[in-house]
Amino acid sequence: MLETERVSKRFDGLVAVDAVDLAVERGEIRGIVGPNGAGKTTLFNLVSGLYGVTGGRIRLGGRDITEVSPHARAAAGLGRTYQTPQIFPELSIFDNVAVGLAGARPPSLRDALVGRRRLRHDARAAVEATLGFVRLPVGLGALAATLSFAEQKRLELARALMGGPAVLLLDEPAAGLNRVEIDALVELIGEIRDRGVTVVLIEHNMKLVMGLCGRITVLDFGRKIAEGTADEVRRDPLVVTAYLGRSAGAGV
Amino acid sequence: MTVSWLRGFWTPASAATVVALAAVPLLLGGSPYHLFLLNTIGVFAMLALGLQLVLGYGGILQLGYAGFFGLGAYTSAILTTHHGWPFPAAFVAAMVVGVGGAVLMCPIVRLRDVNFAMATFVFGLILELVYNQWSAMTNGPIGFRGIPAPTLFGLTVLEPQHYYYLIFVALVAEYLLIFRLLHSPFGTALRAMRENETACRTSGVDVTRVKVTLLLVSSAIAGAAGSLLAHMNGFISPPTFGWATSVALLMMVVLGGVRSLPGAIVGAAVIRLVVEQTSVLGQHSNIVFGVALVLFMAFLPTGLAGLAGGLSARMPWAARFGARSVTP
Repeated sequence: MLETERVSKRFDGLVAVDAVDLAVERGEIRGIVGPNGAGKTTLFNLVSGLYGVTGGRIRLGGRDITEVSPHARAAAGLGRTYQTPQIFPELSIFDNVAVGLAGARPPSLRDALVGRRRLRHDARAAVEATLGFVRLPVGLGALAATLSFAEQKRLELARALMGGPAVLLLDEPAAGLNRVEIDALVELIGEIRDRGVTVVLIEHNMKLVMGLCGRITVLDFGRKIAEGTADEVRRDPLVVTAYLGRSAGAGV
Repeated sequence: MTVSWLRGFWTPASAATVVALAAVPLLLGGSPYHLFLLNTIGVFAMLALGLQLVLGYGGILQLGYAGFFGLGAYTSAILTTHHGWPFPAAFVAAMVVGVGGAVLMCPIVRLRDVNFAMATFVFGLILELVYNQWSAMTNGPIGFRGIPAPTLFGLTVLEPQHYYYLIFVALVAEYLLIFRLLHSPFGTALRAMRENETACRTSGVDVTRVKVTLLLVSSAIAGAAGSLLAHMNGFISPPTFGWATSVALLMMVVLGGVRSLPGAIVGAAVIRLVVEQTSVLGQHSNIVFGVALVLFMAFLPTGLAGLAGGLSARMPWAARFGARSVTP
């Protein structure tokens, strides 16, 4: 569903992502782990098109999207969230989520000038349904800035889901959440997958990764050093030294 | 909340304002000087609204806006005077040429922040240069004379109070257009873009397309305003469409309040009145403007609209009407 082929990104002298091959199957929940600075978020930025690659190809559903602009990738079925929620704080909850419709129907002058009562009605219904799905029971008119951190993350997730993504990239979805919120998140990600969405997530919370992800990819210094099931990765000596460190036995 | 497109425009306040503005010529009893002043304010209010859309809401630093005003004015003047076009056709042509000018500017849309602002400023300077130098078309610095009064539906609009209603209708139409635009998905994308461009792009918003659309729409508006000014005055000359006007327009938006449509109109009125009063200073009026702009940015960054909003929130009726916000 999502493939990268020897994808690389170089910033001046620093190689942030080094010839990474990734092949995520349809319906999979893939975990990307690695120490800070391993290139995980850079990889997401390459896949979502915020950065251009220095080398390699990216394919979404078999289609080469390496040269496609970020908004067109979103329209082609690629959704994402960010480490710190990137919301529109001065916009209403409704508007924040409705922006996610832009990929499916680019906002145009014509829609603005002609009535489109039906369009408005459909948008509202879709926004309400999505907010219900991510369990964000808040008034549509409130400003997004008034939400808590955890709520902002769910708001951002709702916006990403509005585009009807085939592949969803989640950058540290559990960061900053308490245990109850993480349990709810795990359940939610499972439901998203059950809807046929392929999920790729970056996460430091190993319990979450081990519980959710069928396969895990480990990055270190921009390179892929291991890949496999939770058990395989956990036993990999390279991973133990590079990522889990000496306290691995005690920690995981 | 932006669930509705146009609902929310008609409030008691907006209805009263529209009625009051429609009645103004009757109250003035046809004083030509005051009507002329009001008509000029009306044209500049159209420009300020257009700039509010692109600069205030879109966050796009368009500093050459007066140049597009000139495109409309000269287009309409040349077509009616030299080629015998009727006013409505020339009016539409003015908007089309305004859009055409903006199309030429589109390659610079990918520039960011200061670079973009500088490019638009230079674009405005180039247009001003063209108005000064291309004498065969514009009659150069001497100015273009003898622009006919507009004829609409067989009636020639000669009287200032009739011209007032022409501008009034154009201004209300423009206001409604922008209001609707801001309350549509396009408006949502536009406001989202200003807050977080990256999130917009990965959510499927074609940011470049939104910016180009804004530039084109605002330039069409400037073209329309230019046509109205040319036929109202019967005479146009390059300084009206130069950088000093672009700066004055910027001031109207800042003074009135960024992201406030009524604010842009009030800002236009205040600045035009100040221009009238300080015209005896000649070139020195620019100094007055400069100082005023700095003071406003320092002490009243939200403009007159912010001031009005702050005051009304403290009034007894705030609890009843406070929740109803005019700006989206």
